[in-house]
Amino acid sequence: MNGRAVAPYAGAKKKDGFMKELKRNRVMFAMLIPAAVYFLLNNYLPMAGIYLAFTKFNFVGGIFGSPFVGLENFRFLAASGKLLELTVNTLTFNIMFILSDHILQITFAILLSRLANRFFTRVTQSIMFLPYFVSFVILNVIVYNVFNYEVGFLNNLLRAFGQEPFNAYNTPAVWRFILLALHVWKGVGYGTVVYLAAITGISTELYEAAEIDGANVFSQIRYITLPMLVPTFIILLLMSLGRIMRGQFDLFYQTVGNVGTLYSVTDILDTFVYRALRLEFDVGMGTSAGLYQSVFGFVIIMLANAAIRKYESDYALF
Amino acid sequence: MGIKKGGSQTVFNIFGYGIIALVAAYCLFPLALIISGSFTRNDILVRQGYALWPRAFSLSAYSRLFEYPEGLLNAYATTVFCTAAGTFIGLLIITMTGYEDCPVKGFFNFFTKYLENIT
Repeated sequence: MNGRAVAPYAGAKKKDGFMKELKRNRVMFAMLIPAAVYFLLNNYLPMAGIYLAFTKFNFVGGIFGSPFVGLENFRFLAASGKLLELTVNTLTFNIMFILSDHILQITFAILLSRLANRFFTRVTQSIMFLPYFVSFVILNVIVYNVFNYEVGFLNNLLRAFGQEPFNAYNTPAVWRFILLALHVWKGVGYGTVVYLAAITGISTELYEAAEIDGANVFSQIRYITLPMLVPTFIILLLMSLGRIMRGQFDLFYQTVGNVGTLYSVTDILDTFVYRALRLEFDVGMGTSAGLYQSVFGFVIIMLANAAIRKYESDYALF
Repeated sequence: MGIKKGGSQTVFNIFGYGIIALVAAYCLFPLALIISGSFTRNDILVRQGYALWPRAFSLSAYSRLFEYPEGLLNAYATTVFCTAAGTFIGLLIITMTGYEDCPVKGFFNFFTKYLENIT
């Protein structure tokens, strides 16, 4: 759109002021107003609340009556190691999720696209898509009932085989994998459909030509399908990178709940901010963690976008 | 290597059908737990937990659910309304920011593009 030559419309003068432009295109401006108002109110106005990150908020003083403490909240979070722990958790989980998601989805999409039995592929695709619609609250019930120490499904199974029951809620280390498994369960069907759509967009002439040249299934996948999926993968990856500082709040909050022993491994920035506000009522601390999350995320997006633009400017987000 | 022409496809098929079937089973497993749990008696659930097949079949959970249906119907009505109205209004507003074709220049152009990118 940038390179397109815009023909000056009748009556336009080089030095048309803003008001003239507004008047001439008042319909267009009017169409933008709802979106602009929404963003102003929902995204920009609450930015004033950033001020709270620099106070020691108490409910008696309110917004302006609470003592202003400057960077004290940040210093506390950094010194107690909390910020580092939260950042590590958030980033680790996100990177794990992104990698496993895309690898699994591409694999499943390729497999599904090459299997001959249409009934099988359609049925399994629908089954794989189902968990996407299950709410996280239900997931919490499922997780609790599988990992419960007394009557959980897992422990029933272990006891049936004569093994010792396993107390998952006391073993923080294993939750990285549990949460990964849950995230994969929920998201894999959705992403597979996206990649499947990309695969069906590849022209069959390429495959036919390859088959004539003697390529078997595996070579075809390696030399045709995978390279053609790279653009889709990069776009999806960039979009995920933009959200890398934001965890999937629902997943973590619903399944871990308030079991304190697991916080060192599973607490991410989002859940920390939520708990600070709802349970501990420490508004200043929560806001400063949230501010840190936003600033960090912003820096990451800008860096990633600049890097991509240098290598392949088509793929940059903006 | 001695593999005849259709050989690699067979390998791929075994691999493919197997993995996809496993994944489908994995996706169904928690739902099966819940569905079978909904059909078991409550005391069995408390004492022995969920299983893939109801240990003691009973419809008591469903009868209690439908005893006073107003709450459930209200919840559904809210969800449906929010989804329908939300999707409609959202689409309307977002589509309106997409109109860049009109011959304008300068600030307005930038504003349009900016709004469109953040929606």
